[in-house]
Amino acid sequence: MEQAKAWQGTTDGGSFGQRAMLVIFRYADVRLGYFIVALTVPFYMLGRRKNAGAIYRYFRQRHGYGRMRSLWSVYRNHCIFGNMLIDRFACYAGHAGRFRATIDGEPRFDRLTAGEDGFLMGSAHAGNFEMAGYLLQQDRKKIYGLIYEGEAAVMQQQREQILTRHRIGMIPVRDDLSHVFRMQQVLAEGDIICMPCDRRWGSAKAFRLPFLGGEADFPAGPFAVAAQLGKAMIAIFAMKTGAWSYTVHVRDLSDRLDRSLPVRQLAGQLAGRYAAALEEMLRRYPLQWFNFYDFWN
Amino acid sequence: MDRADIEKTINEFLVEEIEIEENLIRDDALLKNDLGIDSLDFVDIVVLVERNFGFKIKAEEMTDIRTLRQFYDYIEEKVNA
Repeated sequence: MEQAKAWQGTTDGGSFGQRAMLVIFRYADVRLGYFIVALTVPFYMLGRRKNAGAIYRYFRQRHGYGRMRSLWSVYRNHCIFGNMLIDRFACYAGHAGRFRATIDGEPRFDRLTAGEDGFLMGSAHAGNFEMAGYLLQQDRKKIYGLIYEGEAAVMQQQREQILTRHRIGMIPVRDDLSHVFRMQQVLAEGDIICMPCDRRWGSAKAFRLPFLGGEADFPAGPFAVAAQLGKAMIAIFAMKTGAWSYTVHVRDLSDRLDRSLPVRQLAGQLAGRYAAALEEMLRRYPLQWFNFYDFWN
Repeated sequence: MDRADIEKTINEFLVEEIEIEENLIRDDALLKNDLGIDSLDFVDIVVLVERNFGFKIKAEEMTDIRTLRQFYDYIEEKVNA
């Protein structure tokens, strides 16, 4: 296995800014926010040239865009990212019910939620994965998201209120390994663990896989957990399709998996299927990739 | 189960399942810093301990375990309780 690259950032916006956003979007339409984002993004891009540069290279090298198209796409990518943050704050402010969702792959999701076993949902920094939790309607199982302790305290606190309403819990990733035990307990109780599969979470081990015409390292953690514990795993991508609308794509990663294989090989197969599913999404929605660093080797 | 069997079983799964180099296995090795055991390996260890020794590791019981010797002691105590 390889060593996965680590994202070195934290969530932007201090506590005051986040509180202000909550107040504003309690009353304002998200489109007002989108308009403000469109005006402010160029300044943000200038201040975060390294991030913008990584996304520029993504468009040039992964999608083969020309220079001007790539520059314009970087701007649009940053706008969509800002719009998605506004959508999240609209949800925290109580407007989750206003979003319309189309679910692609719903029967598989419904079968898994109707069953007794817990399972894993792999997400990515593509689209708006947090929205999937609000948009996928089911009341049989609780969803637990792994979160990093680099998030601002107020964002966690505000998330907890809406997450509790939508039967979503949080498991913070800590050095004391408590999250490992909590994850196993959640799955044993028949609930769902949701985690991004494009950022490492306590282990540097990774699978090096073909991805969008190059090679990239995908952290082994989520796939190894699914393989070792014998749990089903799906990939979930909530892709923005308009103001107040998303399409949630569900992809079954463990369908017809040969469970007689050794755990490491099983995990590798799951990872390969995940990378293929993520590539499918980025070919359909190239503007919605939000790993603002050089993801490829 | 005697101490020698416990150590042998643990060492075998550390080498074969967790893929730790055999020359790193020694009593005073630090689990995290010397053996490189991370939270992903811990998922495997919890499952392997249950399979080989018949009990589930509890999070609070692991907080003070830093070295391999301490881990052997912990398993021996649980198995022979």
